[in-house]
Amino acid sequence: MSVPVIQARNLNMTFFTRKGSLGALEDFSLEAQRGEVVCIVGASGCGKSTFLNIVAGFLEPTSGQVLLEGDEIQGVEPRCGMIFQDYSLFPWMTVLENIAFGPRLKGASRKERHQKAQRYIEMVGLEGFEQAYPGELSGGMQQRVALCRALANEPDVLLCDEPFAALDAMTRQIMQQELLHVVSESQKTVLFITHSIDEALILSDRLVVMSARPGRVKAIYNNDLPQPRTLDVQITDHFMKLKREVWDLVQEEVMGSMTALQRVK
Amino acid sequence: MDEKQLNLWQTVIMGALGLLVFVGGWELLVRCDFIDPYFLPAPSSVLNRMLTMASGPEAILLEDIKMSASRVLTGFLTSTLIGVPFGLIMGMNSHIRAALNPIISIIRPLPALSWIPLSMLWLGIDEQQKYAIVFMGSFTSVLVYTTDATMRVDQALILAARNLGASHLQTIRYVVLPGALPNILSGLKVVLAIAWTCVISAEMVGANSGLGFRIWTAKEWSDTGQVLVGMLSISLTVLLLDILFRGLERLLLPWQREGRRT
Amino acid sequence: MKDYGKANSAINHLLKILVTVMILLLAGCSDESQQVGRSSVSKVVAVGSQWYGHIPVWVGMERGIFDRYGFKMEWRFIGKSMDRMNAISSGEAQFASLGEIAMLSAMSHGNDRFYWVGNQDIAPGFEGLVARPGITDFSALRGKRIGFPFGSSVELTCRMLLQQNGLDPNKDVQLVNLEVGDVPAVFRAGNVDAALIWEPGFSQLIAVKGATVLGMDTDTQVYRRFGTMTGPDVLVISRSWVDVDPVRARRFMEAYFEALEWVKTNPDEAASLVQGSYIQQELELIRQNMKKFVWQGVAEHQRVMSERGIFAQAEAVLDILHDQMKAIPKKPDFRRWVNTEILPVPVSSAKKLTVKQ
Repeated sequence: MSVPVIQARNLNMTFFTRKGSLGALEDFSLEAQRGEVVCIVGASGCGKSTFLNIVAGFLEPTSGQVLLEGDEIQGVEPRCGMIFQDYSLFPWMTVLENIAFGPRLKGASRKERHQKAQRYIEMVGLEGFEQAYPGELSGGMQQRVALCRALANEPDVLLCDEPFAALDAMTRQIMQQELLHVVSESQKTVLFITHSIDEALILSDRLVVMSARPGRVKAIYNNDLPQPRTLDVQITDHFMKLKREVWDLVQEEVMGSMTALQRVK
Repeated sequence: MDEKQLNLWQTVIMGALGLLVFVGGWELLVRCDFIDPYFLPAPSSVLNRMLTMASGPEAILLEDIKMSASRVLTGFLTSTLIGVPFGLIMGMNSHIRAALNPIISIIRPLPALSWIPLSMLWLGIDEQQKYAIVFMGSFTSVLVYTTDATMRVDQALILAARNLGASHLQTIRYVVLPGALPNILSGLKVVLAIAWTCVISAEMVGANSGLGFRIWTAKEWSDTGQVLVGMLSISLTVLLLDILFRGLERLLLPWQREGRRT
Repeated sequence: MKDYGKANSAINHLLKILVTVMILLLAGCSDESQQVGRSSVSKVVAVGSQWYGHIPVWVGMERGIFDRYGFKMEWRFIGKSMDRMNAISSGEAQFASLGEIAMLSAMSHGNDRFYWVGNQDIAPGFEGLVARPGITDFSALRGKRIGFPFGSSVELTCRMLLQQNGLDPNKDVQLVNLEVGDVPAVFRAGNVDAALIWEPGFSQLIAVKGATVLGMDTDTQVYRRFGTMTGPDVLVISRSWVDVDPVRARRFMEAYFEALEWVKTNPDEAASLVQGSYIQQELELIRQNMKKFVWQGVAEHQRVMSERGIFAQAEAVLDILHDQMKAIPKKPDFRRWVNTEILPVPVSSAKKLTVKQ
C-alpha cells in the first residue's frame, strides 16, 4: 500500500486562555488514503475544526505532527485546500477572479488562469456568472465558487469545514452530489467535517466519530453503503442501522460531557 | 415607524421644498423688517453679491475658491499619501501600533488653530505653512481610520488567501488593501471635511486670498454680506467635492454598487 | 398612525413650556443700566486694547472718578476695532474708543446702534512702514510682500504711502493680512519684506537691525491736509444706552472728560497709574510716547466735532475707502451718528435733555 496522503500522529492541542487551559485534541491520530473521503462527526466543540486547522497549517499542535505524503506540515499548507463554512470568497473579486486567484499567485498568465477558471465554472454550472460579484450570488452559488476556487489551486487534499451547513436542504443535497462528482473525477483526498450524520453517511468512504472535548477518535466506520448513495439507499435498513449506531455514539459523548459539567458545578 | 423609502424624485422634491421654505422665510423676515439686514442680509442680496464676486475681470470669488481648494487638496493628499501606508502597517503590526499610539493620542485632539503659532514660526506665512496646518489637522485622522479599517479586514479572508498559497506581500496586496479600502475611503471623506475647516482657520493669518481670508476680511470691514458669500461658497465647494468623492468610490469599489447584496 | 397622537400632544406640551421659558428669560434680560432710577450706580462696560488712547478711561477708573459720578466701570480687552464695534452693537459694551475706519465702515453698512461722540487725541507718528534690511526705498518694494492688519488705520497709511511714491497697492506689491500681535515676529523672521503696525509693535519693527522706516503716517497726504492720523481714535457710545437716559449719558461724558483733563495736566503720574496693569511696557517708554500725544478736552471738542474739525478728515477718508479701495459699499452721512449734546459742553446750542418715558 502506498503512503497515506494524510497521517495525523498523536496530535495534542491545548489552548491557553485567561480562564485557564483548554484541551481541544488529545492523542488524536488519523490517516487518509488517496482518493478517500473521510467524514468526521462529533459533538459541538469536540475539536473537529481545530484538527482541520492544524492540517491546513493555520494552527501548530502542542505536540504531535501531521504528515502530508510523508512530509511534516509546517506552516500554512496550500496543498491542503480549505473550503470554509462562510465561503470566504473575496468580495472585491468577480467569480472568475476568485477562482483564478490560486493560479494567479503562482504566476499563471491571465489567459491561462481565466481559461482554467472557466472550466471549473462550467463544471459546476455557473456559466453566465463569471463577472458577478459574490455579493450578488445565493449561498449555494457562492459555495460552488468556493469549491472551484479550492480546486483550481489543485490541492492534494480538500479540507471541508461544514461547508454545506448554511445551505437549505435542497441545495445541500445538490452540493453533496456535486462534491462527490468532482472528487470521483479527480481522485482528491477529502477531510470533511459535518454535524449531519446523514451527510456523513452519504459522502464518506470512512466515517470517524470523535469524542467530546478533548477530542479523541472514538470510533471509525468503514462505510460500505452502496454507491451512488441515492435516496433509495438513504432509506434502506442498513443506512438506518448505521445512522442509529453513529447517533448513539455521538449521543453518548454529548451526555457524558454534560454530566461532567454538572459534576463540576 | 414610517419607514417608507423615497424614490429619487420624491427625495429631490422634498429637499427642494425644504430649501424653499427656509430661504423664502428668511427673505420675508428681512423684507418685513423682522431681521436687521446689518446682522443678517437677505438671501437675495447674498446671491447677488455672490454673482458680483464671481464675475467680472477679477472674479475674486473664483480665485478664492481656487486658492482654498488647492490648500485643502495639497494638505489632504499629502496626509493621505503618508497616512494610508503608515496606517496599513500599524493595522497589521501590533508592535508598531503600540509604539505609535501614545504619540498619535497626543497629536490627534489638537485643533488646526493651535498649530498656527508653531507653523508660522517654522514655516513663515507662505503656502507651505497653510499646507502644513491642513496636514496636521488631517494626518492623524487618516492614520487612525486606516489602522481601524485594516484591523477590520476579515481574518478568514486572510487565512483563505494564505491557504491558496499567497505570501505575506501577496496577502497585503490582494486581501488587506482591497479589504480595507471601503472603510479607508469613508474615513477619507470625513477627513476631507475636516481639512476644509483647517484651511479656514489657516487663512485667518498671513493670507491674502482664499475663502477663509475673505470671511475674516469681511469681518474687519463689517461686511456681513461677504461673510455669508464666503460661507455659502464653502458649503457649495465641499458639496461638489463630496459628489466627486462618491464618484471615486463607485469607481474603486465596483462590488459595492447599489442593488448588490453585500 | 395611532401612536403619533400621544407623541404629538407631548411635543405640543413641551413647546408651550419652552416658549414660556424663553419669554420669561427675555423679559428678565433687561439691561441693568436700562432700569432708570432703580439704582443709583450704573454699570458701564468699556472695551479697548493696550493702546494709549484708552488712558483717560483707565485713569478715570484708577482715580475713582467714574465711581464718584455713580458709574461702576468694567474694562474688557478687545484687540480689534471692529470687534469693539460689534461689542457696542450687540449691547455687550456701552463705551469704546476705536479706529475711525471701523466706525465709518460700520456706518456704511447701516449699523445705527451707536453715537459718535468724540475724538480724544491727536497722536501721529506712532505707526509707519518699516522695510527689512536691504530695502531702502519705495522702488525696491516692487513685487515684494507687505504685511499688516487689514482694515485698520495702517492699511490706509500703507496705501497712501505707496501711491504717493508711485506704486499701485493692488498691482505692484503683495499685501498680506496679519494679526496685530503677529506683525513683529513675522517681520523679524523675514516672512514679509515690509510691515506696518502701531505701537507697541512699531518699536519692535524698528529694533530689527538694518530695518528702514520708509514712511510714517505723518508723511501721508491726509496728515498733511488735516494734521491728524489716517485713522484717528474716535469715541463711540451705545445709542440705546444714551436714549434711555441722556442725562445719565452726559454725566458719564463729564466723568470721562474730567479724567482726560487730569491726564493732560499730569501725564507722568498717568503713565505710572496705567503701567503694568493696562500697558505692558516700561514706564520710561510710556512717558516718552505720551509726550507725542495731544489730548483734546472739552474745550477742544467744540471745534473737533464740527466741520472745522474732524469732519473734513472723515470725508477724505470716506473718499479713499469707497472710491479707491472699494472697501465700503457707500459713503454714509456720518453726521447722523454724531451726538454732541451729551458732551459736557454741547457743541450745538444747549438743548434741554429729557428722559425718555
